[in-house]
Amino acid sequence: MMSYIVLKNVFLTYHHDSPGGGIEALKDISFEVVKGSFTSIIGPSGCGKSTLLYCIGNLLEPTRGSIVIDGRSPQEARKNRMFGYVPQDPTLMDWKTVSENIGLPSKIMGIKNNNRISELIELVGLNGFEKNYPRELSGGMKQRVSLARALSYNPPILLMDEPLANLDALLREKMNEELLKIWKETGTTIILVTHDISEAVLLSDKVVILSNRPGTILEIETIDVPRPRSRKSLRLPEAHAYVDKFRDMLSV
Amino acid sequence: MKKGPFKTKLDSYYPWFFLAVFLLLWQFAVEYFKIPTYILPTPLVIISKGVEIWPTLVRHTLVTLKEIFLGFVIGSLLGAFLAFFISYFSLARKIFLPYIIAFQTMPKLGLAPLFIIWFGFGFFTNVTIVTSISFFPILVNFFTGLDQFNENEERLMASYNASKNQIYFHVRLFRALPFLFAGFQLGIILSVTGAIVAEFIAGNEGLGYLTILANNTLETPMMFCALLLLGIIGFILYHIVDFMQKILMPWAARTETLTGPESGL
Repeated sequence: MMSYIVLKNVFLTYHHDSPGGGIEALKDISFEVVKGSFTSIIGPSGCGKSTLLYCIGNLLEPTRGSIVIDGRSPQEARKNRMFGYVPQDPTLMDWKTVSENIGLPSKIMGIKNNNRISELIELVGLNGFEKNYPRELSGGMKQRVSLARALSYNPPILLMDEPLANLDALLREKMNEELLKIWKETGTTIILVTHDISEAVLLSDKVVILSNRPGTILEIETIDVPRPRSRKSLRLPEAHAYVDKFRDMLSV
Repeated sequence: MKKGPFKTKLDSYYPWFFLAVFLLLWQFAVEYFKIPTYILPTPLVIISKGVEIWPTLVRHTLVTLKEIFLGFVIGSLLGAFLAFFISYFSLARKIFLPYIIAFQTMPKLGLAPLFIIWFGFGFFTNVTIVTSISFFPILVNFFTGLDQFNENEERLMASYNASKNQIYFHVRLFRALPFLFAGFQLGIILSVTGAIVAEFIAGNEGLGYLTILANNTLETPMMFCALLLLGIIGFILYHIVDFMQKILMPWAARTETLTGPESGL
């Protein structure tokens, strides 16, 4: 299969021009992502998972190494609006209603009368809340608005930075199943940063495991659990085996 | 603070009850101790004086209101525009910000004698003083709001490849609105003070001028009438700003501030 996103020997050092040499966040990261696949990046907190995601999305410039997105540089990809970014904090605009928030990217990109917005409100189950302001929503609803907003301009790549980290376990499971459904319907290539091992196993085709800071690749594992998956998939013995393996790798 | 409806209703009577007791005590104390009217008039004397000179009071009130309104509007427009200008253009910020910080701490009322030399006694000088005193809190507050950097929002906007203009008009201006209104609230209170003091120094009409006139002729009841009206003007203007904030920012939950009149200022 053709590789869609290719990272080769990516290094990132924060403040690399400072006299102390800066803080090394990523060290020699190389991996490939197939179009339409679901990849998770897991690792201990502070290992540079988010940093790696920012590098792919051109929200940060790597110090060394190359990243190619469908034959283009990350900057070209960002300028062509290929990325849908779902941050850890939903980052909704307090002064905009639910539908205005979802419509914000379209407004910025000059997409007129985006029919997708009402479809997405339906898809993420927020009908009836179109006119509500963010302060009137629960944490899970805010995350759904954030997801719908990222999907609103049909980006071919979704970059998700632990968007479910602040939700309780039950809501997380439900959102994960919804995410699988949305992924299937949209055919988007998804890269998800998470520190939840079972979440990574449940969702992904491929899991990239990073070490403690500076983040280096410990392992890249293909997850052979049959699809379609649901939360029950985690009870399968092969899923168990992956979870145990990753847990052993990450616990010191 | 949230309270039950019964308690809230009872609560709203307390200040009125206090006022009634206070006025009664005042009235009787002045009569009992035979305090001369030119030192402390009774509430009844003040009220009857107010009724007697009502047309004069109205005339001077309108002058003061006009000064406050014009001065505040000009000060707000200049302050808000300059704040946007120095926030948007980094060169302008580098040039002007040190001067703004330096001038901010300078007592603007100290400029009054200079304005008298330039513009003479009266209305125009007073408006200029109100403008100069309301300008800075609005400039500084709005600039602080515009200059807030929210990493998450900036990253999100970058992922949409948004232009600087779009970031300002979709995000930063809105993010700064509560700061702008905080500036307006400070500015309107300072404008009232500015107008009165300006009239003390350079007025030939207005409530501040009336207060000084009453002082010179020991017309203490008239002085009380003027001061009472000034208090009412300040209270009403503050609430107009507050009301405008509620209309213009329907997304914001009601916030209580320590400087709000609700907390007893």
